[in-house]
Amino acid sequence: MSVGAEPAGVGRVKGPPGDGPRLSVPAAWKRRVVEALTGASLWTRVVAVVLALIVAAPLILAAGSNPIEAYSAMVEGAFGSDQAIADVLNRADTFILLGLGIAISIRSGFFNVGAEGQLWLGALGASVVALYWSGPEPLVLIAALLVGFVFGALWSGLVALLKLSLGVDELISSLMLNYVAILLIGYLTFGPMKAYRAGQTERIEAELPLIFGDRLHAGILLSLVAVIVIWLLVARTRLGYEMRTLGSNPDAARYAGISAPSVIGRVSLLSGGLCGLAGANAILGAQHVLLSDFSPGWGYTAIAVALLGGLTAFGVLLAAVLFGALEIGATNMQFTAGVPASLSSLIEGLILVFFLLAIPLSLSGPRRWLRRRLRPRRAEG
Amino acid sequence: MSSQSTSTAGTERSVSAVRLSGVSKRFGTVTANDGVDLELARGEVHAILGENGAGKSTLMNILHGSVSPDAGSIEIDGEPVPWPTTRQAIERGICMVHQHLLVVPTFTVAENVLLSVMWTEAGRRMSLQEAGRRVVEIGERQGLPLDPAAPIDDLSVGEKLRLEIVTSLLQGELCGGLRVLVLDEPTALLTRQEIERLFGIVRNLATAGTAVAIITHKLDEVMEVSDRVTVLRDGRRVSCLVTADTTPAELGRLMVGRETRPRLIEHARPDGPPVLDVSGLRVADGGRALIDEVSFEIRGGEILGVVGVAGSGQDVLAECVTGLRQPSDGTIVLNGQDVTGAGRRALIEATIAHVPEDRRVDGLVGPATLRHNFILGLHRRPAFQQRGWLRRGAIDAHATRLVGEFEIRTRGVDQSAQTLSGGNQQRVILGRELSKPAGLVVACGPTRGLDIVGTEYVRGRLVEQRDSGAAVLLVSLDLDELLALSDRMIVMHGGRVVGRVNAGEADAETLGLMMGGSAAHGWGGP
Repeated sequence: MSVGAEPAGVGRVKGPPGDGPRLSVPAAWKRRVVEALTGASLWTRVVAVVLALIVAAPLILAAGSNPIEAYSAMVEGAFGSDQAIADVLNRADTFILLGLGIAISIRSGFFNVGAEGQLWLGALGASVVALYWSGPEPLVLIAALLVGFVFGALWSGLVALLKLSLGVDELISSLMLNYVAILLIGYLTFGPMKAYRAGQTERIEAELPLIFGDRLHAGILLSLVAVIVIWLLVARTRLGYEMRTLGSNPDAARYAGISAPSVIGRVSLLSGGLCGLAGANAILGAQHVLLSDFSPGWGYTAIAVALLGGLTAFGVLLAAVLFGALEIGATNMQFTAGVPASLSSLIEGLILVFFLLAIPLSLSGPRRWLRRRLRPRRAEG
Repeated sequence: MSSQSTSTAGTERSVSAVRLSGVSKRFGTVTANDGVDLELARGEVHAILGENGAGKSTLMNILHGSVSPDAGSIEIDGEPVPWPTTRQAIERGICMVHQHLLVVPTFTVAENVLLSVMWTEAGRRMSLQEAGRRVVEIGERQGLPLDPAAPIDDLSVGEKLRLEIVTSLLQGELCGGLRVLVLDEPTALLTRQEIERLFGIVRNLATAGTAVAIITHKLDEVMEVSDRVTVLRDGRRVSCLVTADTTPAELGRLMVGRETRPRLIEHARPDGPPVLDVSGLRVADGGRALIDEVSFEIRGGEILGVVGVAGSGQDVLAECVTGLRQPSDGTIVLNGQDVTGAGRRALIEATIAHVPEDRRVDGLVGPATLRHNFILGLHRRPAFQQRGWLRRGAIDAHATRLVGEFEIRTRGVDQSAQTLSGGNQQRVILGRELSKPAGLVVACGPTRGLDIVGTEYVRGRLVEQRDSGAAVLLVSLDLDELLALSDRMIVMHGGRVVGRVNAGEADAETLGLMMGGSAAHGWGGP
């Protein structure tokens, strides 16, 4: 019994009555986040990026460099050579796969922040296959990618299972499982899978084929295919329709006979699978060894990518390239202009802050204010 | 209609604790209170009676300072004062127990009391220990035992109510006596035994000099516990009577306040096989039955109205019939097939058209396009998807056709549903639901919040469905609507069917009595 527990609509018991206090984010907040993110305009995003660059400028100045020089070094570092562009795309593919995974889950009202853990598990799955199975290389690659996908999917499926069977909020469990995943790989790379040096495995011989120059690997093609598949899934299929309905209005979904457990179950597997695929792709394409510090938190950065991308497939693609360019550009800037590369994290953070700040303004504030000014007495239809 | 038989017997008998004069309050276009006078005398139990939306709660919230009135004045102990804030009201000993109990479920009893009572008489900060001690002390004195260390989650509804009353008593004690205690529909969730105990406590408080105001729409309770009764209707005070001088019948008529309207439509008495046959339906929630022994049938070509004050079980009934809730007992037979426990998806695909009560929450996906909303619940049909792929052409055609057919004013099928007016939103839902070849239409409050044009349109569509042979189950709180549309009516009270009335045989007085649970009635005709 929890009469009096709900602040509103108490008279109307919906679904199974909740028993006892639970750590969970109110569904209405989640719904509003989805609505706000998918409703914000492209201009909101552009303004957020520009504001972030402006606000970061005095900080660069304080660090003893010229902001204009720093920014041009950054652009040069990201797009100045074929190699730079290849590096940007190699980083972007990780963000694309992670961002897509996060986007579809949030879009469905399933707030999976476990991309980091699923990324690590995917890396582990691919490494295990590639290290311990010496078959023909193409088969090893395909198997490694598949197992990476499955490992990520299962890690995320665990979150869905906890939510659907015990009502554990996915925000909490997926976040906590990230630490479990990282520590698990720490244990393996210092223990059973240790190579000649602690904290890393043997070199992984199977490599994704290069598609341009001596750096750009096939991961970007894989991510582009994923973008198209996810776009089709969300926009054109019945599952996508049910995902969008559930994410925007779980009550209406229930009234439409949509089974939330079934949709959330499938979405969590797919979402975790994409994140796992990102891990497998990073191992097989770029790193070629599983390290105990495999990822610097890409799974978290990718949340920003998904949000900035408006939870849409093509938005994620653009945001991922932007973040890839920021990070690679900043690394190269550190060599050429002497500005610390961590500037990229700062700018990424500022972009997200300004974007989130701008959403409520762009959705209601100025627009509604303007509308009131322009049409003071609009008759209601 | 014109019986303004105000009694002054009560006022002469005793001293006024609080007097409200000419209170008016509007919310947007809705007038909640319109020049209402109310006097609560010391030591009396004063019932505030009225239908849903009559303005009872608003009036009490104004008294308690949580809503500020547009006009009117207040006297406390015969002395005019400015409208108090909630805090000032409490300091003057005016306390209120809200309908939806305001307790923090994860706190203990003492912690919840501490939320409302910060300071002791001596101006020291109230400690948790002291709050607990005083809860026990008041409990012993008034016969309201509570364990101060018990978490709220472990309390029954009756105990939570007890906690709120004890909190009010403590608040009163700290400011020199509880002057007025307002109880907003306190009996809604209580068992009969708990109600009797509550009324005992209420009488004790009144004897000790508190003016107790009880908001209710149950006639029995008015007769049982109150000294005087003020009847509100459509935001106006209709009457203030001494309870002993009135009858449930008079109160029922005053509360509902209208004679049967002339028929807008011809009523039908079809005699085909029933489309929907519900028998012995029961839904248990813990030990309490939300609905019990509900049986009725609807034939094709008739509208069955479900009459009752809010919370009489009609929502639960509609949820069972439309597969949103599983009954604990009883059967639901649709077109000769037992569909009890069939689940929502099976039922809406078995051609139940359902117009939900809360259109924005349950009926539409606000941010999504009209195209999206027009196939909600229909999206699994082969017409709209093939092997999991949406058939965009068919969906577009469907949406465009319905926009035209239901005369929806929109910029196009890409407009988001939430940017439509309420009337147009309801047309989207009607269009979608009635596009099914529906054998049964379940309409819950289908005209709530609509203007006259929208209301007429929706009612017209429902009658059209009936005339084309569908069975219509109409659940509404609007008695006018039920009287105008229903061919037959069942009256629900406390989760049970307490009356069955044919169109044309219903009069406001009988219905008012039955809604208040004071009389049982059977179908007159064959």
